[in-house]
Parts: sequence; structure tokens; C-alpha cells
Amino acid sequence: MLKRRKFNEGITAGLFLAPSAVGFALFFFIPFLIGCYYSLMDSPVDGSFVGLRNYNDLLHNEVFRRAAWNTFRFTAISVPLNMLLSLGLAMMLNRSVYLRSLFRISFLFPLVIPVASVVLIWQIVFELNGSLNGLMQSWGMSPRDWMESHNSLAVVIIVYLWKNIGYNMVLFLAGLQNIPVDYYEAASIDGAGKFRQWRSITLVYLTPTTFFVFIISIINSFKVFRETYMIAGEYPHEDIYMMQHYMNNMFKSLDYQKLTSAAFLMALAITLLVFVLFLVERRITNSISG
Amino acid sequence: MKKNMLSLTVVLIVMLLSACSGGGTNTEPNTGPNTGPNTGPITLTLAVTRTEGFFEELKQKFEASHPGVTVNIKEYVTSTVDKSASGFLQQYQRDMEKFVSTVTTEMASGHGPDLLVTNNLPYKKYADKHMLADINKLMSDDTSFDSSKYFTNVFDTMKYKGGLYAIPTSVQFTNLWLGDSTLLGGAKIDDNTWSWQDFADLAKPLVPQGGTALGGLPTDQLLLTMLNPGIEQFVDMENKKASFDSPEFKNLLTLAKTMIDEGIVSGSFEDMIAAGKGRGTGLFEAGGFRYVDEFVIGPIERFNGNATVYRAPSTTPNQGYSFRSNLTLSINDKSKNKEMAWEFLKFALSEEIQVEREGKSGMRGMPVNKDAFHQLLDKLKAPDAFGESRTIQIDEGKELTVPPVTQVQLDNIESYMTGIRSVDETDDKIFNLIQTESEPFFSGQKSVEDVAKSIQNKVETYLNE
Amino acid sequence: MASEGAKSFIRFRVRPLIAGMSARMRKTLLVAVLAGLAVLFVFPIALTLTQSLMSENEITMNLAPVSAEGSSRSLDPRADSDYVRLKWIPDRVTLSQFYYVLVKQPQFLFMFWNSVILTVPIIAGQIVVSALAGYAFSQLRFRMREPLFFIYIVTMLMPFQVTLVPNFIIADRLGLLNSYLAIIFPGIFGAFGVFLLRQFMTYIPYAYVEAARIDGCNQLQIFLRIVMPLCKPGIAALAMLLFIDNWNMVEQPLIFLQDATKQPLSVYLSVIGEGERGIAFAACSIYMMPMILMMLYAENHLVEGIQLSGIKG
Repeated sequence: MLKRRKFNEGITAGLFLAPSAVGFALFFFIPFLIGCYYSLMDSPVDGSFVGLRNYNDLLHNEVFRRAAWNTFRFTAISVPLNMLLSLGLAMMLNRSVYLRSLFRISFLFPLVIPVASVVLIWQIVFELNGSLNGLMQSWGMSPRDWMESHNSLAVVIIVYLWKNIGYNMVLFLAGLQNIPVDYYEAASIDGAGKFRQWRSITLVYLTPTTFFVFIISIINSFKVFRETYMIAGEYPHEDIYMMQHYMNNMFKSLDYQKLTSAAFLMALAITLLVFVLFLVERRITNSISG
Repeated sequence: MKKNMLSLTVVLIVMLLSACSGGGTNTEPNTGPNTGPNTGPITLTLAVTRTEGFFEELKQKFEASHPGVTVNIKEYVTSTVDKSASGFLQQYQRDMEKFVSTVTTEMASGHGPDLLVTNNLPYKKYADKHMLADINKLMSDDTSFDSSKYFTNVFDTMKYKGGLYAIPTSVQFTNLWLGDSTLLGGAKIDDNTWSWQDFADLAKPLVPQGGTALGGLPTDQLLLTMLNPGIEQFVDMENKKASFDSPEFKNLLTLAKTMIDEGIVSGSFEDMIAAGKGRGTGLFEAGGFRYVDEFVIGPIERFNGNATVYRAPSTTPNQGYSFRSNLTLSINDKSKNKEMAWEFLKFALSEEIQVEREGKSGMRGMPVNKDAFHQLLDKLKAPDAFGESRTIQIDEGKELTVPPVTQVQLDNIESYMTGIRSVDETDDKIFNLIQTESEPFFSGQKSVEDVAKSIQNKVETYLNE
Repeated sequence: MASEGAKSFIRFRVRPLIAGMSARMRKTLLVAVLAGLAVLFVFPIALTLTQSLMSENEITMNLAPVSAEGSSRSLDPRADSDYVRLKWIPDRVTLSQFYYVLVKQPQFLFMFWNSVILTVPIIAGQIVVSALAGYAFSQLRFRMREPLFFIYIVTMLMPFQVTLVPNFIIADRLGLLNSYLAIIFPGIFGAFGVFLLRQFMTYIPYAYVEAARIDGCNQLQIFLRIVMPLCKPGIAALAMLLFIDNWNMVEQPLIFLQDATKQPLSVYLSVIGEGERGIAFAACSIYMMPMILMMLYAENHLVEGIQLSGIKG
């Protein structure tokens, strides 16, 4: 009986998966492999095979290393921060609070703003002659150049948080709402206090969502590149020169093989991280849906 | 609920249909069928940012003399929104962004155009990746091409690693100045070796009241003018090193600021536009020379006929004259129609095309074709060169007469052409970085140390990527 | 050690304080905190909207300190006077910017419509395709399940520059260049939707599915009748997020769409300069409208989702 079910499920699964898998392979996976191929060449057109030389060169390249470190540092700070804050917000907004809908929408607003607006406003606030400096001056502090100093990292983190907390909040909210109310009821009947409930039910059942949010936050931390690029150009302050800048510049100067090699190294690092999380998540998920 | 679903589906279908139909209509062949050079119809694609009268003219004339060949001018614009002057710069930026990204992608995927306008493209990088044809080789292989008919010294300035991958077809002088002989009096200027400091010292006492030592040059362009040509002193491309944190550069920066603060050089871009032509209030006229008649008219317009041409000061002596190319062309090495593309390029260099400098369909700048150049010079000698009465209008309604042009004058003009030894660096990246980073210094908000350091950081990042 | 201190702080100081408050006070505190944050978040949008109601002159005057490269700035030595002071209320409310955008330059509307043509099919398509795939990944068991899913994730993490040239080549081979489909297709088959919906579907207690199967439903029926309705919050979230992502895309249209007339509004808004700021604010306000509407609409569904998930099978 069990064996037959497994086999049948394979075919059914195939049918369900077909549209997505075919499209995905054609538009994502195959290009990914082609990119891989390019990273082993020395020129995108009529190149010759050079094996791992590109990777070797990259790892010894100072600029690449700096970009990698900056990216790592940025992500390591902003992603956990984002998740904590957005989870907190989601929990606060999960109960019935006065004007709840209004609040929920307002936190989502940053997502809605087009890049151009963000850039305009960023300029207005953070530039050398911007209003933040003006404010500081009137409080007696000396103005600084926000984008061209070691403060630039802080600015980018703030913008990232501002933009993405809403994003994660939506996901956490949906995840929270998916936890059936009866679990809580059953738990309180059993005599569990609020904190205990939070720990054993909420956190645990939120795990798939958390995993998801984590990955998405990482992806979004890359997206902040677009705004940073528009404000600070292709060569921003050394603290915020990240992998995306490096890759973008490589693309523009037609150094395609450096681009793909860099992307693959980055993918490798992320893959390892995701793999670990994946295993953890799978273990917990299996215990839920049994 | 059901009704909503239905209307939603209808809307979706409409959209998919409009999306599909949008795609069908625009399948133009990128390159013609791969038949031999002279058999069957051939389509040449020329990639430009925005098409203009000149390209149309070139296309028509070429197609007329080469039946069976269609020239396809492919432009890369992002929108058709018409703007005022201030919006123009941003539109230009957008278009340039699109041009560079798209052409880069096309070239990298092996689908590039046959010919491209490379004024703003990183042609050296393309050359490194073997994407551009070596024009020198095409020239030497083509027995009908006589290189003595061209100012090959101009071509040579753009050689890269022994090959010519982008060819300038039109010249605009950038480091030639017109000096007011009256004001300068008998001042001795050795324009082959003078430095910017020499210039500042000389100009300070002589600047006219309320005027500037460098007419036609807005203050925000000063630093760049001082660095280009001659940027090699601070940037070593081969070894990927920059020396912007050196005392020499800092001195240059400080000098530039001093010149502005002390009023030796003044005037913004808007001021220039407002002043228009006419009696210059400048000690030197630094706008450069774009057309041959400017050598004749310039002195009269601005200095009552009493002017001398000088080479601009430079950071390294004996630089020779420098220019900017108004139209740089390259050929895609992977083009299926390389021979025809070369024919097209030759056509753009021919006397017939190079001599046209007027109006919308003419080229800008000065010819690299010797015959065309001489033709233009001879035209200056003609008695009716400046209209029947040989007068030119100045804005205040005044008119001045142009005295007959002497052979000596013409020889001088030609000597500038043959004296070209370098080309202005077109790699915008470094200059853009310098320009942006130095702004806070000029407005007094940052120190020269900070600015030099940040320029050094960024340029080194750029070089070492 | 620090967390110990924090914990005890919370336990012995903050907790009693909050517990001491009446339920009402607690609620008010919460509202206050949230309100403060909300204002901070909304401020840029409010700024955009108010600025769009100003005339061009006002904006230029207001923003003079941060505008203009070089010329006028480099001439006067920086004193301490010139900083931007944010003006919230326009001296004179004017709709001239909107007038300019909507009436005098109809190209904006075309670009707006282009954005719609690109975004809507992607959302609809991805929801359908991803729901199917998500179901397979979460509820069905087959051998390649985990590795395949893993591949999805990893590929999704690639920045677009990497796949750009290969995508271009493929689009060319399929004859899709300069067609909206060159962007729509990759959009539909993106991994994001699969990822999201798979997570949501994992929540569905197997008991429901088991019950349905015992009742004799086949996979398709289970999918349509049970799983999909339970996923409403997830689908709502997906639609919202997809809309935002795709409404804002810039690089792909630049490269895949040759014609200037096909460019979406996001491309135009990616480079705004001085002199256009007033128009930019107005255009941005208009640009934001669909997203705001979408958000309001989807928010309702989120609420609906809560009610549904509470109902027993």
C-alpha cells in the first residue's frame, strides 16, 4: 500500500510541478549553468577555457575581498535586526489594537515608494546640505557628510530597515495567523502561561515562516543596492562598496567572467548557509505536519 | 465572486494579447544573411544613442552608391518625452545608460551591431575582449586605402596596445586657447612648457575688471581642464596605481581653488550662455575650436582682431595639441559583414562626407581627411567667404569686417592639425569621480586632504576591480 | 551575562509597571508607540505627496541647497545658512504638476499602461504556476523533492546580472526580443512564489488532507477545494509582494525592450534630475497609487484569511 502511494505521488507531483519546473529551468536554471560555464572562460565571446583561474584571481583581488567583507558585514547586522524588529511589530499588530489596519498599512508604505522618490528624499535628508545636517546644526552639533564617511554604513542599514521591515511584517503576520487558535486554547487549558505559549507554540510553528523570512531578507539586503547606487554612484565610500557594486561594475566593463565567478562565490557562501538552515527547518517542519 | 473571476480573466487575456502582439511586429534582422561580401542583400547595423540628420544623410548617400546594401540605424532611447533644457541632461543620462547596458549585453552575447559609435563606450575594454576589429589592419589590407590622404597622427593618438580599435572621424581642438594680445602686451609665454602655476601668476595682474582669465570655461570645469590631457601623471593604468594623494595633486587642487577664489577664473555655465558671443571679457578664450572658420572669426569677435593662439598649460610639458573626437566609430569584430562595414567606415572618412560641415546633416568638428580639410581652408580664402560684405554680426548689433585671410593663417591652422599628439581621455569614470568628489572642496566644506584621499580611494578601487 | 541583566530588568521593573497599568493604559501605550513608528515610516510618502502639490518654483527654492552641480554653489563660500528646511505645507496648493504629467505629456500615461501590461500577467501567472508547484513540494512525497527545492532556492539567490546575458541569448533564440513576453515569462516562472506558497502549505495539518483523501478526493480536488482556500493569506501576501517587486523593475526593460514606447514608468522614474523635481514628485504620486490600492485590497484578504483558518474543516 505504501509503496504504491509513493510511486503514484511521483507522477502526480510531476504533473503539478511541470509548468513551474519547465519555465524555471528555461529561464533561470539553464542561464545559471551557462553563467557557470562563462566563469570558466576568459572572455564571453570566443574565449578559451581557463578552469579555475578566474576564481583564483578573484580571491586574491583586494577590491573583491573588500566588497565581500562589506557585504557580509552589512548582511550580518541588518538581517537579524530586521527580523527581530519585524517579528515584534507583527506580534504587536496581531491582536486587536485600535486603528490596527491603519498601522499595518503605514508600515507597508515604504515598499510602495518608487526608487526615484527614495533617492530624492534621501538626498534631501542626508546630503551635506540636507535637512538632517540642518537639524543637527540647530541643535549645536556639527554637520557631517553622511554618505562619505564611516557613517555611510549606518545610513544604508537604516534605509534597508525602513524599507523592509514592512515586507517581513506581512510575512510574519500571515504566518502568525496560520497558527490555529485552538492550539493556544488547548495550551492555556493545560495551564501554560503566556510566555510559555509564545515559546512553544508561536516560535515553533513560526519556523517555516522564519526560515522563509530569513532568506527573503538576505535577498532584499542585496536589493538595497539599487538605492545606494542611485545616491552614491558606482564607487561609493569604501565602507559600503559591496558585492553588487563590484558585479555591476564588472558587467559594465564587460568583464563577464569576473562577474559570474564573483556571483558564484557569493552563491556558494549563501548556499552553505541556506543548507544548514534548510536541514534545521526540515526537521522541525516534519514534526509539525507529521 | 464568480463574476469577479470572469472579469479578471478577461482583463488578463487582453493583457497577454497586447503583450504578445507587441512582440510580433518588430522583428528586424540584426545582420544580413551570411552570404559573401558582394552577393545578395546586406543589412548593416549602426548603433547610435540617438539618430540625427547626419546619420540619415550618411545612410542615404551610402545606400545610393552601394546598391543592395541597407543601412539600419539603431538607436537606443528610453523615452520620447520632450524636455526643456534642464531635463535634457537627465534624458541624455538615461539614454546613455540604456545604450551602454544594451550594447554591452548584445556584444557579450555575440549579437552586436556591425558598427558602433564609441564616443562614450569603454572601447578599450571591448578591445581587450577581442570584440572590436583592428582598423589599422583593415587599412593595410585594403590596397585602395591611401593613408597619406588622412591626418594619421590623429588616428595614432587613439591606438591601444598597438591596434586601432576606435577611429576618430572628426576633430575638435580642446587645448588651444585664444589670447588677448592687447591685454597680454608683450608677455612672454612659452606655450610648450608653461605650467598652471605659470598661468596663474601671469594672469593674475592682467585679468580684466569683472571678467575672467579663461572665457568660455565655467569654473566647475576648471579642474578637469587642468587634468585632461595629462591625467597619466596621476593614473598609471598599466600598473593599476593612482597617485591622487600626492603633493602634486593636492597642489593642483589648491591652485584651482585659489584661482577661483581670487577671481582669476570666474563665471558659471549660465553666465556663459547669457553672455553669448561678442566682445569677450576674458583674458584668454578657452572654449576650444570646433570649426576651421573659428580660427579666423574668433580673434575678430572677441579681441578686435588682436589675438594669438596658444597651447594651454599642462601638468607635463611638451604635450602637443590635443583634441576630442566628435564621432568615434568602431567595427564589431564578430560582424558578419565586416568588409561592408569597413566600406561604410571608409565612406564616412571620404572627402565627400568629410567636407560637409553645415547644418543638420553636416558633421561637427573638423575633417581628418586632408583633401576635405584643404577644401575648407581654401573656402576661407574666397572673397565671399563671409558673405558679400565680409562682415560678421555681434550680439549688440555691431558689425565687424573680416580682413582677407592670408596663406600664413591657413598654414598655421594646418599646423595645429598636424601637431596633434594626444587625445583627451574619454574614460569618463575617473573624471566623473574627480568632479563629484572635489565639489565639496570647492565649496569649502571639505579639506583638500579629505577630498584627495577619497578620490584616491575610489580611483584605486576602479583600477583594481 | 548582559541578557541576564536585561531579563531581570524586564522581570522586576518593566513587567510590574506594565502589569500595574490597566488594560486600557496598556493598549494606549501600544498605540502610542506604534503611532510614533508609523509616522516615521510614512514621512517620505507624505513628503512626496505634499511636494507634488507645490509649484516648480517653490520646490526649486526650497531644495536649492541640495540641487545644482557646481556652478552657483562653488562660487559662494559656504556659510552656515544653507540647509534644506523641509516644507510641509505648500504656500500655494497647485495641481500644475499633475496637470503637466497627465494632460500635457500623455507619454506618462502610456508608460503607466506599459507598467501594467508587464506587472499584471506576471502576478497572475506566478500565482497559478507557483501554487501548483508549492503544493507538490509541500504535500506530495517524491524522491527528488528536497534537492529540487534546494536548487530553486539557490538559483533564486543569483543577482540578475549573472543570468542577464544568457537570458538575452535565450530570449533571442525564442524570438522574444523587444516583446513584453521576454520579461513576463521569466517573471511568471520565478522561484519566489514557489518558495512562499510552499511554506504556507506546509502549515496545513495533514489531517485535513488525509480526511479528504479518505473521502475519495483525488489530488487535484484536494488542491482546489482544501489547500487553496486555506492559503488565502499567503496568496494575498504573494500578490502584494510580487506587485511591488515588478512594478519597480528597471534593468530588464532597459535591455529587453528596444522601443522607447514600450518602457514602463519605473524606467523613467529611475533617473530624476533637477528642474524635473516637481514633475517627478507628481509622477511618483501617481506611480504609487496602484500599489497603495493593491495593498488596501490585499489587506482585506488577509483579514478574511484569519477568519477562514479558524474554521474547522
